[in-house]
Amino acid sequence: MKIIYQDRELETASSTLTQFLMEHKLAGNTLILEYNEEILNSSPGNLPERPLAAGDRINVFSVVAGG
Amino acid sequence: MSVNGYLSEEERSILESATVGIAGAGGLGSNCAAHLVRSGVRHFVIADFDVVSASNLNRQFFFCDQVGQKKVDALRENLLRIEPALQLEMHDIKITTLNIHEIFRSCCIVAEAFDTTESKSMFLRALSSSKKMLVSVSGIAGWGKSNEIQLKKVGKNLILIGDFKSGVDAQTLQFPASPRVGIAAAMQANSIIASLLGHPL
Repeated sequence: MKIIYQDRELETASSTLTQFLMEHKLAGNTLILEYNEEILNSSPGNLPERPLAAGDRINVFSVVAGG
Repeated sequence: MSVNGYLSEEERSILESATVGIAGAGGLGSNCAAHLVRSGVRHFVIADFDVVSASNLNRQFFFCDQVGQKKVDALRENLLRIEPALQLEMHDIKITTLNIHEIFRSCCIVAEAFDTTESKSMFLRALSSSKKMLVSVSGIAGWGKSNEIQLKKVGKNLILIGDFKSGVDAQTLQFPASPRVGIAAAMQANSIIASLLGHPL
């Protein structure tokens, strides 16, 4: 199935959002996870259980120190 | 008297009736607040527990003779020198998941202006499901790379600013400096004003 990851089309075998995040090593306390325009918690142990569907949009942004 | 004489009556009224929250009064928060005051915002809720130190003067909107003062007190002084008719609710407190909702209860927009990843992440986890517009920053350390600082709309209520990779890191000599921190703080203020006035981000 094809999804949109970081604004680019990507083929994935993952059937859930959690599987996708684990596959791409994206779980973490310092990540912002955007799934179909919804901001979700991506901290380990709190990964969101959502079925993935073709065309789903996933974006991930790193939170780094500085201010 | 109005600091910003270029505003229409309607714009002035919108900006003067908004209450903007700023979580942190360091490099991002102090400079973002100054931009917002100069742009016409009059009501603020600003929280920070820290004191001004000499090492802050490389980028934060404070002065030599304010070293040792609480940041919220020093920032109040400086903002009132730009516009005496401000309504400032200053909190000398460390922001946590336990108090963040109460501190920023009256704010329609809150700028995240922390320096650590833990505080930034806490802010986003605590408020991203709220109805408030949030403006957060990630990746502003070092020099140069101006074109890499981006603005992204994330979800329905989050604006993210930064390059998302240049973190402050003493081991790699990546420090926060006035130009890049200032760019991000100005972008925060710019996007807050645009959101309030209904302009494109």
